[in-house]
Amino acid sequence: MFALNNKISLRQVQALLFLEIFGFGVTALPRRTAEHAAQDGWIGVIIAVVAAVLLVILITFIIKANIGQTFYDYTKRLFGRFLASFFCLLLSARFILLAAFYLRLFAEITQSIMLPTTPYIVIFIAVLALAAYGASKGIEARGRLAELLIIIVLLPLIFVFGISSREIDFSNLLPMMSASPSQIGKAGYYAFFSFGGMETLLLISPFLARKKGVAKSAIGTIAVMGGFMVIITAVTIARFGAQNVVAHNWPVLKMMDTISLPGSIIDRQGALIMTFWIISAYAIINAALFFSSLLLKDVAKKGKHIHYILLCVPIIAIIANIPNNIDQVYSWFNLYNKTFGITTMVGLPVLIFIVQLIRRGRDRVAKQDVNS
Amino acid sequence: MKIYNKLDDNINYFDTIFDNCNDIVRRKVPIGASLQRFAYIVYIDGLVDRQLIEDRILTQTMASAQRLPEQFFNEPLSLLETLKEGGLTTADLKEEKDLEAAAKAILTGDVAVFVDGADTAIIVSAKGFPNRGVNEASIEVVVQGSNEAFSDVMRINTALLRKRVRDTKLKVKQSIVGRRTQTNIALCYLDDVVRPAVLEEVEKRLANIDIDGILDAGALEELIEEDFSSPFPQCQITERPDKAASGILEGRIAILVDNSPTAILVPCTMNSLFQASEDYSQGWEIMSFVRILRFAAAFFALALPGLYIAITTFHPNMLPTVLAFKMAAARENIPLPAVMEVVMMEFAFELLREAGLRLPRPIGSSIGIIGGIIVGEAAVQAGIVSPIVVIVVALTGIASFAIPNYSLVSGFRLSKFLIIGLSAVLGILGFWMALIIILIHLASLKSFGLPYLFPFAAGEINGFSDFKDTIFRAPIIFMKKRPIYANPEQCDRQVVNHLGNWHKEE
Repeated sequence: MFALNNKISLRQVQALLFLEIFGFGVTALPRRTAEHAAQDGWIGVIIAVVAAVLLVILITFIIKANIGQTFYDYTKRLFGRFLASFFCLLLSARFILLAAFYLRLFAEITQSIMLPTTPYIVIFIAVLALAAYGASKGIEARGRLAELLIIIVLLPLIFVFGISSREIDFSNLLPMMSASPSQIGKAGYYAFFSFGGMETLLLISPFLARKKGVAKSAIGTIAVMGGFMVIITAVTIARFGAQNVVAHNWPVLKMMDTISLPGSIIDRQGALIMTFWIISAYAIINAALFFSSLLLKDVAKKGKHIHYILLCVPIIAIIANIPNNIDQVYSWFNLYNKTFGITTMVGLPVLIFIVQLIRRGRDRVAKQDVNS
Repeated sequence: MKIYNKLDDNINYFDTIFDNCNDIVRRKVPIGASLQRFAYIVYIDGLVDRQLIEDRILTQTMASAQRLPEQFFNEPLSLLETLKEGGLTTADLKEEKDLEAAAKAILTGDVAVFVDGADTAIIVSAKGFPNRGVNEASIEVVVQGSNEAFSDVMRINTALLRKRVRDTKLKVKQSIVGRRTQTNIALCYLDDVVRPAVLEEVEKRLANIDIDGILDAGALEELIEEDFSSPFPQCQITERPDKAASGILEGRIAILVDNSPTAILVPCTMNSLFQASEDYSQGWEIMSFVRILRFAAAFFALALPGLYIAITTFHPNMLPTVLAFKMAAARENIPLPAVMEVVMMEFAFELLREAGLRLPRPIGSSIGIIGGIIVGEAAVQAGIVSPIVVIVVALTGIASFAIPNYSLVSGFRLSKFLIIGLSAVLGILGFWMALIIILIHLASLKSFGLPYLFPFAAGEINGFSDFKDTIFRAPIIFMKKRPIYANPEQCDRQVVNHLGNWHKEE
């Protein structure tokens, strides 16, 4: 009648993409880049943005070639049933691991800032229950909610960073280009992982209300988000200085917390941080649950979506509970990113892209043969 | 079952089905000059206009039968024809050949006239229900604008709509719901403006209802809603004919239920529940301000107690030091945790609200105010609750009254307790979690296919033009298009030939 059932608009795709990537990606980004390129960290972010845009161009090519089809359907057509199932399981595992990492990180931060006496498991259960509830409502509700949440996330962020501009010392960014190209490149490499979640685009195809403008929307979103990330990194480094940024685990949160709001009735911006933080956590864990369960359902070809969501919930909770401390979480996550993460985030789309191109060429030749 | 030729058989039938029904008048009257033939008249006392029966049916039946020539008198159908054509001097009559249908007509307030030897009855519409007439609106009160409210009688309600929308395209499509109550339901809509798919869906849902009785619009609302488990209304109930007429002009369907002084407007969005009739009777600047107030009030009604609990229990360091000290001092010697204080006061407030509704109106309004003051003051004096909690709960209650739709307020009232519960367990985290749960729920809701959070979400379905009537109410002159409810082919609402400054052209 009005809304397209089980379909989302490009605007909603943009909002989802933004929420899934931005929140968690940005919190540790200044530290990640400053660790390798000091005050030139923000240049590393620019490199990462360029790489992310290239990757999203590649992914949208795949989506457009397989519009309306599920990931399983088109990989089955390109690689056969066995490999398609394998890729689905691979991607599903990536989402589950990503969700587990972010869940643990969220619990760590919440415990340190807000709830020092609350056990991890309580936070795990609460957040997973929330994310599972959201995932169970389907893509339409996710899309509509994203349109609202993006405003709730962005407004305080823009507000806080606008206020903080009064306290910025741009001399902290000087001298520019003091880091070597390899250091800046390394910063860019690590910054690129902040775009984790972009690969959800590979699965969005059957939910798109229209094909036209997909590439433009997705590329635009990544570019705008990249712009935000560059600004936030530069502003954070300019405010604290590269050395202090490296010393903080989550410098963006630290920045939010230390800004004095003129005439404010709140002394500490804990509420703003939690707004930003919980919505980001919800968005990424919700997406991970939604897509991993969808992939598992496609492979199993049995049961309902909700059953697989419920199956993923305890798995994520158990994995999130394994690391002993925050340092272990980060070291494992770095290892994961360098191996499994980069394979699934970049390797898999590139492989699909190449096979898609070869297939396309073959089909064209076959068509010409038939015509001649 | 067909009507019998023999009048006595028909009489026996009605004697059987209306056994022990003393309110049903059944009278066998001799007609004609020689009083050789009989007619049988059945109606329900109290549901019909007695004057009309006396003057237009009984008297005329006898008189016209006497005028009939002798040779036709023994032909029952001629007698019936004579009665129909010239005897019964009322416009609204029809023939009926089915006995059960005749009985149903009697139950709805019609009069059935049977003639000896004829297998057809004449059904005369002589409805004269007792009713309260057109009253003043008591729930959706406005400062400026019409104060008429719907009545208990459906026909009066359709007339109130016709009075406002004098368009031949205004259709009033009636059906009956309820096996035993046989309640009349009327769908009122503009034929060319309504979306055909929505109309079809409404008709489908109504046809799908198989229940013994519908006694009020509220019951019907629950039966046609998309998600009956939601505390938020997915249909808009209004007691105001101007509101219903405005909805009809927008392309919505007003469902009238007999014996119910309210109309159901479908589809509806949460945004439409924040709109009041007077929003368009006063200037856009002040009404935009009022709209902002209403949305802020909704947030307070929903979230204030939970936020108070989260901050005082878990994060007092978020507050400026002076305020934190003041609050701590106010809570000194209070034996209960903040959550218990709030829940207790909320419970007391809800009790007062409910008691105020049930009591006679003059007492009801005063018990709300006096009760609130006395209970709050006494609780503070007794050291059970802190004064700040009284302020929080009172503010929450006042905020809920600023929202123009009662059903929506009920949704907020219930959801408030979810926020209180989660805030008490997880502080600000719980507060945000509860808010997101509510938002997820709202985002998943639809009203006849229309996203409930439209146009805040999915606004692009209608090119974002519906944003002009949301938190801000744009000047009417800028609302050139009808809202999303209307058939896209009829989206133009007005043609603006002149944009103010009339004197400049003179």
